[in-house]
Amino acid sequence: MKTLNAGLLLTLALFSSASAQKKVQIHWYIGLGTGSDAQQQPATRKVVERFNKSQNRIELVPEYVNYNNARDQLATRIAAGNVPDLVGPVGILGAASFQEQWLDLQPLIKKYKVDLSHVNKKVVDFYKSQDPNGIPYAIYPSFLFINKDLFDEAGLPYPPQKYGEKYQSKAWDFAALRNIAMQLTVDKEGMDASMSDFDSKNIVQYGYFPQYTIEPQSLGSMFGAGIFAKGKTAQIPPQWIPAWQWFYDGMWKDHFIPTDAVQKSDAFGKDNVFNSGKLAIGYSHLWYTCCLDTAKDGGKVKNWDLAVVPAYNGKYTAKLNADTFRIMKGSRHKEEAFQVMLYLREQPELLETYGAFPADTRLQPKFLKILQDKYTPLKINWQVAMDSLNYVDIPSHEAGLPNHNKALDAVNAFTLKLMTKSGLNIKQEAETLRKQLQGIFNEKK
Amino acid sequence: MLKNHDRFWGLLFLSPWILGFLLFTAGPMVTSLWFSLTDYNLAKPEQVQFIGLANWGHMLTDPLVGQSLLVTLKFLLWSVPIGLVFPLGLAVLLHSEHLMGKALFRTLFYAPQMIPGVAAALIYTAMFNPQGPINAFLNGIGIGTLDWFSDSRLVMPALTIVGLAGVGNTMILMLSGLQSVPRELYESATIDGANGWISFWRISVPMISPVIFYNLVLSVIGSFQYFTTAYLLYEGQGGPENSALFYMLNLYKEGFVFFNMGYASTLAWGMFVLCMVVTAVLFGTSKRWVYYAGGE
Repeated sequence: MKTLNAGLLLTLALFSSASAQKKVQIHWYIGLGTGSDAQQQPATRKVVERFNKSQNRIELVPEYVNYNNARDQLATRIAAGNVPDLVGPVGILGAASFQEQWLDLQPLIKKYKVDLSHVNKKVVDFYKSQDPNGIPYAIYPSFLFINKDLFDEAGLPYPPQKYGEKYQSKAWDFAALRNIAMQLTVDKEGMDASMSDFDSKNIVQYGYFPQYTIEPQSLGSMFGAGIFAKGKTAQIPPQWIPAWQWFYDGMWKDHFIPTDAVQKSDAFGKDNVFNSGKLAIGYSHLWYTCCLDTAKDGGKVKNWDLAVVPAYNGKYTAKLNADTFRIMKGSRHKEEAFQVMLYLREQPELLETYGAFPADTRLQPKFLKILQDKYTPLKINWQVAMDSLNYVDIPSHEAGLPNHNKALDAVNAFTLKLMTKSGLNIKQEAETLRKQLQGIFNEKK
Repeated sequence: MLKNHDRFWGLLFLSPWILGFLLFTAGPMVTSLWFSLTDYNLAKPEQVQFIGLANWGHMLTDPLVGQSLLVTLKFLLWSVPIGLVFPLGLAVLLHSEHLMGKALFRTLFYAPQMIPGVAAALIYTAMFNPQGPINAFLNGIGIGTLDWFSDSRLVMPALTIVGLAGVGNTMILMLSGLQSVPRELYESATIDGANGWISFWRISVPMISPVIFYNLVLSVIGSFQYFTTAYLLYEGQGGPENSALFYMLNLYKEGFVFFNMGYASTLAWGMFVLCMVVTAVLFGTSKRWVYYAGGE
């Protein structure tokens, strides 16, 4: 009898294992963007378990890869012909490193009639403008972070919190931003940068800095969306040159923007200048809340809020960062991967654990409440972030370029040059960059 | 004369190393030589093509290779002489019979060597930043603040100073060399009227010349392979105006940032050839200035 039972059990086990093998495995590569941190993994595991329990056809297999190695590892896997099916969440720039490897989702979006009615139309257009396009998932609008205490100290009114509003009865533009940023830049004797006896060698507080967004495309897009390439032809969008000039003069002539050496120094927060409490206005995206300490964590910025970006020639551009899931062209189970993708984008706990602002408007209030709770008792005007979504940059400043990785390297070197060397002729430098980019684009097969 | 039996056992015991060498060293080397003849891109393996010597031709005309070689040679010229003279000076100091607390000083001078390269780079970034102690000192003596890592003219001196933290090993080797010089030589020289300086130049330096030569070869090869500190300080970029674009950093970028593994393999072989030539030249000159008491 015992032998019979054992035989039955063995048969059952073999049968169930055979049926399990019939499931299509979808390998989900996590780490090219957010998601692979140890504290994020339990939430992901729960979602995966729930999905796998609900399925008899697909088995989702998460693969966590440390962010710092994710790029190299994915390249190695592509080289070895062992590609994962699904990758994400990943930003536009992260995805651009692997151009031509992503599946165009448009046919599947149509086939599955993906409902995008709960996404801001501008955001839908933004995602559609990507090549290949993705499904809206997590978005990070941009705006100004203002240190209200420093404004109060200087006796200056806060910048507008509504698009179209004026500042001190004048247009809220980059001239106005320069003006107040200079008044908010202070030397160790208490003189501000608009005064004649201001000591630019001993600055203890700066007026303005584009926090973690100093790439030339980011700086340029504040004056209007554009892209470095038109097909395989390199170009510098014309509005980007005055944008770079404004930024450059802010550093080396007007001294209200910290240089490379200053912004990397311990005294100014080692790159995180706004968080040091010595910066009046920081320009960044919603994700910057990751790195802005709360009062209970000993944050040095005690009283802060949001303000809208200034206009250039009467037009606002609040560039957008956006994450999504991508399916690799080499996946053997593209349709199943797409089904998994649709499932993942509807799991609110994933968005929470990623700290990602949902593209789906129905999920946005909950996210903003979590964010507000984090910074209570401050009352942050999150509506500024929501309104910025109406002024996103199309084409995206993060869009891929021909021979992308090499082109991006040249572009980053350009930023470093701006931030480390005074006395440059920006028009000439822009032309040099254009020629350099053209050379790099021409290398592409 | 080895018997077949002994040869068999010898090879058997050596076989783990031989296998490891073939699989993990010789194999990848041969493969990378093959890659250097292709346009292999990590992210587009399906498009790989044999392109003959095109990568080698490109390497000879690539301005970034020229720039990175220039940066590497500049660093070599800064760091190798200072990296030999400074530890030699410390070794002479520690060898002095007038120095009290030798063990303490030996430990103190050697201690920075124990700090991992990554941590050392971060510590030095803090020390050299505009509000750091080095600039505070320079301000104190009226020189003013210097942007050590942001000013392309100061990058080499700054990196050379950072490198001085790692002279502990060289210092210990120099010290052991000095300690092995027979005392009778100094005594004879003193009787003949030689002062300390002459004894140092005529006795100490020639007698420890094999140690100096050994460190010279290692320093030169180390300079050609310089990577970690520059990579960390400039987050994988080449620093202001590519003033810290070392050869190995350029190679890394080609292979792992741009995914041009074929071209990166060519650059690796280019460096291998360069190191071989320079080392051969150094060995060639060594006959003229390195003294081996027991012959070569």
